[in-house]
Amino acid sequence: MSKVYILGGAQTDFERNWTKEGKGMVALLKEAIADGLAGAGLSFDDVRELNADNQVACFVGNFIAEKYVDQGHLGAFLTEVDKAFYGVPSARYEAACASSSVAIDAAATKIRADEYDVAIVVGWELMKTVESRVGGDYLGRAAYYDKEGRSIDLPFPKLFGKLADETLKKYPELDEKRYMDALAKISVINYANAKRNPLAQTRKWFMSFEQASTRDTETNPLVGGRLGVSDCSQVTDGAAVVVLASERFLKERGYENKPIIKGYGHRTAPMLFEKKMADNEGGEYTLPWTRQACVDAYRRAGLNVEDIDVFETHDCFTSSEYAAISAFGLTEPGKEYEAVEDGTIEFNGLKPINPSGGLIGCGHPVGASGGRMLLDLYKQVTGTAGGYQVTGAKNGMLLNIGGSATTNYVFIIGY
Amino acid sequence: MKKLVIVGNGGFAKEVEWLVERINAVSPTWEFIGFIDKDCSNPRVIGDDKFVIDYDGDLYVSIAIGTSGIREKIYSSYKNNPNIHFPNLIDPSVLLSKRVSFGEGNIICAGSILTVDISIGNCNIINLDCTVGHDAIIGDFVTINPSVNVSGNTTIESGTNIGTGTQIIQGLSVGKNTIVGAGAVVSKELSANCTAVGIPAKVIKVHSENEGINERLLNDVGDSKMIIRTVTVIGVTGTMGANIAGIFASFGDAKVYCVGRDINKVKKTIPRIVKSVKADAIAKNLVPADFSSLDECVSQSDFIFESSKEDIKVKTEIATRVGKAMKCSAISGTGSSGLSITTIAECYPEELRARFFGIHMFNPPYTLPLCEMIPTKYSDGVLKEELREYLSKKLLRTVVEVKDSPAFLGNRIGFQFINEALIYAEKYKDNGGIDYIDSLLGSFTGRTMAPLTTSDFVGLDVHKAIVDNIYENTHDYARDTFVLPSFASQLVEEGKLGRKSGCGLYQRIKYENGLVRDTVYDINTGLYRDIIPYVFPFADKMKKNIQEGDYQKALERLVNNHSQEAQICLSFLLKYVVYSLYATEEVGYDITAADDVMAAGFNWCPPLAMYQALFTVTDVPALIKERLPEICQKIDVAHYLSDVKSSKYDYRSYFKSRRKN
Repeated sequence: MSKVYILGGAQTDFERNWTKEGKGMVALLKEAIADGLAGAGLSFDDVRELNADNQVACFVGNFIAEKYVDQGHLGAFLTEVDKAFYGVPSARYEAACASSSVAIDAAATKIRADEYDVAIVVGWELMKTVESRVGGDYLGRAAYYDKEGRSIDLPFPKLFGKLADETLKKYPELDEKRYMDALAKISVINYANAKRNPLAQTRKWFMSFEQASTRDTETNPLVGGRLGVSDCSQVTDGAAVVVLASERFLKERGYENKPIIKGYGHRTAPMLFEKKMADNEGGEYTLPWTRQACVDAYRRAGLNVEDIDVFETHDCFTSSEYAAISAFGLTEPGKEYEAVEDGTIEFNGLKPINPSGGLIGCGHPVGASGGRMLLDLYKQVTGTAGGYQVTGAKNGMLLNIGGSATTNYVFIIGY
Repeated sequence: MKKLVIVGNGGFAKEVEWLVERINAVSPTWEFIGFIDKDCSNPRVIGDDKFVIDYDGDLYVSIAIGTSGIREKIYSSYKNNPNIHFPNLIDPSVLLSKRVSFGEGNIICAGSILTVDISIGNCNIINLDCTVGHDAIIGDFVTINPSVNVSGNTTIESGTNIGTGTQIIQGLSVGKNTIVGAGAVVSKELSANCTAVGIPAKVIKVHSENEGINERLLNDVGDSKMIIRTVTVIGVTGTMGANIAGIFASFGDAKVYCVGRDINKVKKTIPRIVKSVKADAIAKNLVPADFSSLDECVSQSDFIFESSKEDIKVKTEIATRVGKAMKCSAISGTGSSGLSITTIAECYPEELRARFFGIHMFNPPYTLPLCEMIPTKYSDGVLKEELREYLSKKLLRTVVEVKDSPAFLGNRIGFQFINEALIYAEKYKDNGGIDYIDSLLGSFTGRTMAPLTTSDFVGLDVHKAIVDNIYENTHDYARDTFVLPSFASQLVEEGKLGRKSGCGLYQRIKYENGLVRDTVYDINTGLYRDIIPYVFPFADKMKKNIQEGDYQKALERLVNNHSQEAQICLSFLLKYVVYSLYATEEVGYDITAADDVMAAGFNWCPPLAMYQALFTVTDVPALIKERLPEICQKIDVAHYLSDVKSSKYDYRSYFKSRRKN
């Protein structure tokens, strides 16, 4: 059994609209892989060499290219990037917005089992190929489409709006304004963090607490229940590449100071949102399986919330980041607002969440988000996060969810 | 009696003035001559930092500013003048033994007690009613607020701020640059660079490494030293003025007086401003006004931005008026794109010229962040740097400092390209003219919009004004390329200015049945005809390469194809690189300015990135020699290419492949 090391990687600039640039998935993959290999200190020749010994494989995370770009069999597209990938084993993994995490999990498992020395994970999604209403309908497939998506305008904002409603129901002492203001503050924090991130989609956009907390206006219309546009993540084109490696490869190549994946958690909750809520009755958490995935990761890593210096979480909507606060163990369930109000989760706080800007600030190319989060945690613990570096980060934790918190993936990395 | 000034103009400064009176009542020591502050509107303020730094003769200074970081900066800047002394001011009621050692510049306020064997450094403030116990050590620039008890054997390191009523238990140390909130009980060691609150004190925030004490618990993103709370934007009914008001009201979080000649028009513009930054929240920051209240608005403002008609008479009139009404601590700027900033500066009273700058933004500022900053010979250097920080950190502009030169840098480079494209359109009118040239220089060559489409979009009148200005007032090797072709002058005279007049170089015709025809002005016939869907094999193949992400293959093709069209295209790109580097040396200060202006002002592949792109497939200097022989004869091209370094912009995102230009 090998430890699973992270060598590095790269992501594309999430501001880019590849459709407007007239480019498709092949161009996206070519740029991402070239930059990703360089970021990990590898060349196409290295890939060729490793493949000669059948020691390298590719793991592609993507949600629904079948709809956005009318293409399946995505694992095979590495062969379009460079001839070095001819013969390299490669496949695509999918779990809606947690697709990258499944790819990471599969890659890590192969490394751990000493089957490959190097695993190249590439998460990607091209979403701007269609207009937003159509795209919103495509995303409905991450829910139970027939029951929760079909013929419903923008199904996901509605589902996470329901999460907000359920949160208020479950904790009757939680004041509605206090909760909604906490959500607004989360949005403001993530937009502000994105300003430090040169690859974040929203780095030039404006957001203020006043704007985020005043919903149902022309510039902040309601999109799902109580949630406004300011509570939502973005529609984004992008790719993130992370390269994992075995201990043997590290020693052979003389890499130093590379972090490892210390633990993971993976739980699949009931598909239907209603069933999820029925399932949480009697429990403390709105999303008990999300919490469980975090608990599993802590157990596998032998760590606790006190040991984690930085978090990247799945803020597809502010209500999901809110729930993540207690899932991580930063507060008791029902008291998540404390960590928002006292500055704990701010960039300069004790336990910063989403210093990269998160999905709201950085962007959410669905299949890429998990990979992007892992890459950002890598940057944090290796001190290479530049403008959004959290001082002294040594252990990082990510939560990547798929659908309405149906798939829940957690990774802890560090030294 | 020794001459004393107190630095600061706030509440604490008043209290120190009283402290000085109390010292004098016991034993006359100090001749208090006044306060020192940036804001000289208070008559008791006798000057700003310059007064002290330039003072001739012995002067005693007490820095009565609570914020440790600012106190430290002021102290460092005054230390350069050997005539400045920093006395310790200790209220007569303070109880202290002889075994308390002080550095200089400390202020110890009434009612405090300092016992024995205490060591105190420089420029600390120990406010009212504090106690400091035996063997305590206090560093430099520490601020201890009223009613704090510092127990024995404690250490408080430099730059730290202890909130009112805090208790520090014995034997502990508090690290550097830490903030302790009011009423805390510090019962454990506190590290440096953090904020701690509560009983017992717990760290709630860790400061980033470069963050000095600034006593604000907000995100440090968007903070700058310059604090602008109220702004006047003059000329808000124009597009640029409206958009700039939006930037100040949103990112600047300022109250913005929106001034226009007709207040009703201004009121109608407000919703447009709100939409430009997509935030209803800024509406309350926008206050409509007309010229009758201009003086009042200006007198209340920290920043005045003039964005009026591009007419020297209009601008100088406004500048004169602003100069009479503005605060001596305010900043004033003009958004002029072509007039002499120095001429406008000279409308201001001499002492205010230091606070005036050219601030040329691009449209729309929400997506094009370029801001050319043009200081004049009068502008204050320190203020310039503070302004730069404000514009870039707070307003998120890409700031490029440029000289007061016609069209500055961005438009000079951009319109050299565009105008030469127009000249070529005339030269190649038999091949198709305008749409022919646009198809050669479309998005596959590294820009979002083809050059002549850009001119049509910006307006031929604006184009003419820019190139005429450059032609008349500059004399570089490309001067002849700034002559507007006569057919274009004719179009301007006929009022065919482009998109804003319904026709210009192009005309979009919409029929009643819904049919839309995109037509172009045919230079030969003087009529508008359908745009020809040119097929240039090299361009088509380049687009296919770009579509697949094969940038090198695309560029290789361009360099090796010898069709007339490929050669025109490549020569334009090479000329663009050379002219950008040349103009940047003339008008800018750093070679990276070339990239910043073209990326952030035009969204074109910037010249250093273009060089880098071409360099992946060919020896660029050799290619320039081969393809641009006349230019190589006029200037020392090698000199301009010698400083080329890698770009911070990624050329790949600029080369696009689209069916239309």
